[in-house]
Amino acid sequence: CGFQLRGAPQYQQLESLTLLGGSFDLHDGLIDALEASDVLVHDASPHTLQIGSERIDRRTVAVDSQGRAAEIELRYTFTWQLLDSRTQSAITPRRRITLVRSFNYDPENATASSDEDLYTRADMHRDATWQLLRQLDAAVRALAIGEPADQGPAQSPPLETEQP
Amino acid sequence: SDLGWMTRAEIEALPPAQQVPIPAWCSGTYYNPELAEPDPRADTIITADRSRLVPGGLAELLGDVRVEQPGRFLRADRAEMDQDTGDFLLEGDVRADTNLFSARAASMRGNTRHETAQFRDVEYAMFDLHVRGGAGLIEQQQQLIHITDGSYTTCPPDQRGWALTARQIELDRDTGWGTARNMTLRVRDVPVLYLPWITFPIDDRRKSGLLFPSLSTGDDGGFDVAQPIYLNIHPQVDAIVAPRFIQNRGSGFDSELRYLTSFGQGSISSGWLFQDREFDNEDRKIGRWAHRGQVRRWTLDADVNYVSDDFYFKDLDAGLDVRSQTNLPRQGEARYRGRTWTFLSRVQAWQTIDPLLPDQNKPYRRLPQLALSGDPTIAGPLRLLWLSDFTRFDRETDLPQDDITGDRLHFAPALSLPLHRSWGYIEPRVRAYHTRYNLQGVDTLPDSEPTRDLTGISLDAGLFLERPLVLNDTDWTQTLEPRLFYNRIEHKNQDDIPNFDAGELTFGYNSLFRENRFTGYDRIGDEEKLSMGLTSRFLDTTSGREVLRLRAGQSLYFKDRRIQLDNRPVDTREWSPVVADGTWYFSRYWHLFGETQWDRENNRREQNSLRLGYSDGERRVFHAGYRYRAREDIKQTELAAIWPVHRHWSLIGRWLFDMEGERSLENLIGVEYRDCCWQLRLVSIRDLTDRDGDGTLDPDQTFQLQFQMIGLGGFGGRLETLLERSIPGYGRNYANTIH
Amino acid sequence: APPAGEITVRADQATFRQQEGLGVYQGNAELRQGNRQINADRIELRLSDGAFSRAEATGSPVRLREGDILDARGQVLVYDVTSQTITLTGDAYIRHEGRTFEGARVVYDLGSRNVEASGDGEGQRVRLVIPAQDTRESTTTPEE
Repeated sequence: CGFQLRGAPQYQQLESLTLLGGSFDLHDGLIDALEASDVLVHDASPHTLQIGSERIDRRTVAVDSQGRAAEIELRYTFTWQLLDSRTQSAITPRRRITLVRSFNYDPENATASSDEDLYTRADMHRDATWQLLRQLDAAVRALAIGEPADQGPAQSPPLETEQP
Repeated sequence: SDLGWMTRAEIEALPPAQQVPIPAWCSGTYYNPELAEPDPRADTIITADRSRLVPGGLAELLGDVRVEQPGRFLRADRAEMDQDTGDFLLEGDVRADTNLFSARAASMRGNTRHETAQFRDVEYAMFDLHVRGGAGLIEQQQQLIHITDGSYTTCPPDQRGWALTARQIELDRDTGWGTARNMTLRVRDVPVLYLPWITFPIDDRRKSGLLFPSLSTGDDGGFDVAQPIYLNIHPQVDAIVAPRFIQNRGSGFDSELRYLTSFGQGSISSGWLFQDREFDNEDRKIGRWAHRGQVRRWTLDADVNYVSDDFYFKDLDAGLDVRSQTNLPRQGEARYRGRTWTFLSRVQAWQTIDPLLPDQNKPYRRLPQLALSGDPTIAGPLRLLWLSDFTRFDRETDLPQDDITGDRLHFAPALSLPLHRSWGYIEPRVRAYHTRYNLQGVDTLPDSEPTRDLTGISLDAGLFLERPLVLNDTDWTQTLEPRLFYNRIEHKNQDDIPNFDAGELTFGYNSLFRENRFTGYDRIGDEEKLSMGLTSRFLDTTSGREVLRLRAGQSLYFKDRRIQLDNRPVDTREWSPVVADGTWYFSRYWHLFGETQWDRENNRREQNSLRLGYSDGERRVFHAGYRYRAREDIKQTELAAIWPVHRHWSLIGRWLFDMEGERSLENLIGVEYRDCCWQLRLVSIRDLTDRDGDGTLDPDQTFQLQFQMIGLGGFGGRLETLLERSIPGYGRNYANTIH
Repeated sequence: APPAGEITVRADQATFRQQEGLGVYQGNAELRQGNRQINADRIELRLSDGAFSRAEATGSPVRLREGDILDARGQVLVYDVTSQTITLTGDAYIRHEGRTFEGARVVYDLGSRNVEASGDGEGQRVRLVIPAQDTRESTTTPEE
């Protein structure tokens, strides 16, 4: 029915990337995935992935029969954009990723619920990293950044930025 | 035009390149389209009908004198120009326009080469601060502006909203702060407030704010007024003190101090109500310290709360979000984030404000918890997954048999062989658990130093399959991601081990693939299961955005699960409930999420939830939710929205309904008026909370009214945080994030 | 005091009308008096009871220079000795001690060294340029 195994990600052609902004949690996942695809993450790359207005909102969405908080919703959002490191000009439009998760809150076991809060945030960071890399993959393919790896780090061709 | 004010129509008539965005609720904005950025290197051209040049450089010009520089245009009846120094004096119907400022004055002194100016009898408008007013004298040095005997308002010229008049007003564009001395606040020219000295933010670096009092009335508290006053202590520190008066209770104050240091930013807030007449004259106090910081690879976080009694929120605050709290965190942590190793050191305690919670259910404190984890590579793909944790648990209880406390040392190292490819992965793991305790107060437990050793193996494997797809002429990429997870953890009796931090994990798709079915380390769940999961995503090929994601999964158990919490019976089900969920962004602004868990064996729905959300990122937010949880018989729906019904008016609402008990847990209905000059919110909140600790829910109704001068900075107060917590996505659109 | 010293005038042709006390110099006419020099297409010198009282020069444009402190141009220049003023009209331009002045009519008072300029009441107004970096102070303007 047309399904094939997924090929190597396009962002491999970036060869290196600088991460700007964003929390450690997001960085750790991103660096692992990028380096697993032979993309070096350091501060001197011609391309910069800028993460902005990262935010997690927490709110009570259900209460139990005694009016005590029973379910907590976490809403995680941030924006990302690929920039040219030298000119700081945008290569891709600014895009937003938003994730919503909820978990049960046990009023009688606050310690355990606080651990589950951390597990849920970790899950959200993993999923957000996954989505971000898929979008980065599409953006790199659309802009054909950089030469194929074997020709060495040639100067990237002039890029016309995608209009949002 | 009037001091650079251009109406929406005038701006839309401009060529597209010169158009500027106008906030939705403003009828126009300050703008001098033909004046670009000032260029100090350019010459100054002066024209006039007549002029006289005196040796030594002084020139007098008469008759419609115009002084023009890129980004600056001045006009007057008469001018004196010292060509050596660039100083000039303009007199008679003086007009001054720059790209950020417009003024009409009787006279003006200035200099063509640097940013100093002095205006007398002037009407002014500062575009970047969105402010206008009049003054006897205005002096400007670079970013500092002194206004003497002047007025200041952000209301547009065609509107007589509020104005602040003062002997002295000083505006500092660098720090973003304004200061006024002998200030009178007038609303529609009626003086309503006099203050000898006041500071106020003049740009939106600070949270938007309030100088005007915030008012509310409640069933029992009666009339409740808070009048916030800003204190600009230091560029890195600002504070708000809000004296508060509650009719039936007494008076007190709320305060919030925000700081910015190299160790991070945070806030210390406190509230004090003296001798609350409805709480047998006790003082009601609340305190909170919140901190978030980062020093190289260390992150520092703190969230320490204190309230004087269990009913503080239910009596003195509003909104189900704060009133449903049962345990207030008191925690502080320092976390080192290496590339391979992470070290956490934290203290975590709670203030339990649930009057019904018996002592033996009060949460344990971790004083401290020290955890080291890491995933160093041993050789090639073989990795060590190190996990070690030392925690000292403590709890105060009145009943002796519940006061088991002690230290726990837990190791859970694992050997793992992760093989990751772009098309899939497989990761076998062998993990050993070793836990030892040193307990006190154990007369109900046989051994004061129990230990537990057990092992577990797991195998996680998954494939990523893809195919291109064309649906209603857009290119999609559909993925198919099957996943298998085999997990076996041996059974070891754990009855002689206390339960400090173990808890039931919320069942869901992700929980199918976890090794330990409990949170914490006091219980390691015996289990032999094979979890099967299938995920399919529809990605928009050009952007890579995930538009639709469907998942389903289930676990097949080969053995009964004998380790349980709160002495629940052994779980003998052969199949776990089926869990399926889907997220669909069916348009740019709309998204739909659904999850269901269905227990095949006793044919029962375990849990369902549905969420429909809309957010246009500017002013519209809509959210509808349904939650059903069989075990705790929770069946609740939620509707929440902020919906503009007119350029200036928006409706705000939240309705949390308990279908099980057929009662509204929270009705929040409000209206917001907002224009260029002010913002008014009138919100009524009715929620059901356990007001007297008898386990039954009693209604409580409050009305909150909040005025806010746009652009005068200030402190959103409880209403803003209330809306931020009850309307999803409100925070992002309305309140600006301090990052 | 007005620069003393006699006046010398040269031109391609010159004609004299004794009885009117008028000398007309045509073609590359040049008048010198001390360090003041006027160049024009045509200069008319008027003498009254034997002394030089007025000079009127026309050109496209007339040039007036006085050492390096004064450099002026205009379509018509009138040098009135008795009132010690030089008046330029018609796109008059004057650069005096580094300041430039333009206008329909510029009057330079040789005694007080004041300059007065005025527009012509319709289109043309007085125009004064203040250099951003005062050229008089910096001898060489750095290339941008």
